[in-house]
Amino acid sequence: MIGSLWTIALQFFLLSLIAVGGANAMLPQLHADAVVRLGWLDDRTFGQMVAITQITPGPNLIIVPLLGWRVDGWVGATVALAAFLTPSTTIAIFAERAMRAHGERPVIMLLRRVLRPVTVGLFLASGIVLARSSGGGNWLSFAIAGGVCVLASTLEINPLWWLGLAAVIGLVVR
Amino acid sequence: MENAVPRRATPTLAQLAAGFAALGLRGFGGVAPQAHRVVVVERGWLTDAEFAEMLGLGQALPGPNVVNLSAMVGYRYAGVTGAVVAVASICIPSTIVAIALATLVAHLKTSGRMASAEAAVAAAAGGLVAAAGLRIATRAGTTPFTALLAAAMALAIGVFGLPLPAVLLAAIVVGFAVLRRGAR
Repeated sequence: MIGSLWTIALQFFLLSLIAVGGANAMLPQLHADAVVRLGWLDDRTFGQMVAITQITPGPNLIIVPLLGWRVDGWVGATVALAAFLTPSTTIAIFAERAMRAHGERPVIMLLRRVLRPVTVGLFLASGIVLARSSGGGNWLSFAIAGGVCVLASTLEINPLWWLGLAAVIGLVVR
Repeated sequence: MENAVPRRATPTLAQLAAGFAALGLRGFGGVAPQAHRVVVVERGWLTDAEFAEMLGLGQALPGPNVVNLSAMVGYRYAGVTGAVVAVASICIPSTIVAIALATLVAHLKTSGRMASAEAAVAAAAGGLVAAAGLRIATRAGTTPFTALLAAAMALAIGVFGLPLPAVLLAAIVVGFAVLRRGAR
């Protein structure tokens, strides 16, 4: 299976370099490669894998080792994860260095000030996307998302409580 | 209020590993708001402003944003080893859980109630991300322009469904242009 390991490594190494915007943003590309071009798995299984990553705690990038695992077990998972993380982590390290080394330069100060509202905007956008996509975007989803947003902004408790409360509401009001 | 939460002592490698492993296992429906909670609120490794800057940078770079953030935090406190430890800690535990779930998935049957609970949890996760965004906005210094920029991004991606990379690029370009003029 050495040939397939190389394919896995190359596939995820390249994917890492174009994966701007997080794991969810790269799903269409991943589908085009893994299902259509390489034929690693069919549409149904691909959908199943994505669903698993959504009910698993942790970063959504675990779709990467999961696909590696489908192709070649634990070795495939390890190769996929390592190949995917090496380029992006290397770039992140250099970026952190550059930010710190030149942090007082006006242009970097400016960049840092620009990045703050950008993160706020992305957080708000993710909130809306999650509320809309969950349960087909019915009134309950928006009510829960809005309610949790207000409550979590007011009360400093562990956010897992809000998720648990939502699960109960979902079970009762269906 | 740049430093509302004072930064604590430098974390050790073990503390980095424990913090990011916990983060990896806690983040249901996206790790970003949990990342804010662990890194800023609980451990005090970054201030709100630093967190927003690093996550924004992590988002603009290739690779998943929170994983990039963990690489940067690990690197800042413990060099390349720290970066590798942080990244491995956030990814490996949830990878193992996902593979275990995938092995079980054939036996899982989703009932209507389960699906409804799952949707409710996803919606609540959305509320949590938005709340974390609001907190960063209040603590990391907001002007009418930055509020407008953030709201415009939220609308463009969340409501109009525009592609994230394009919106991100546009926001950075506009932000740069406007804030630079303001700085003069």
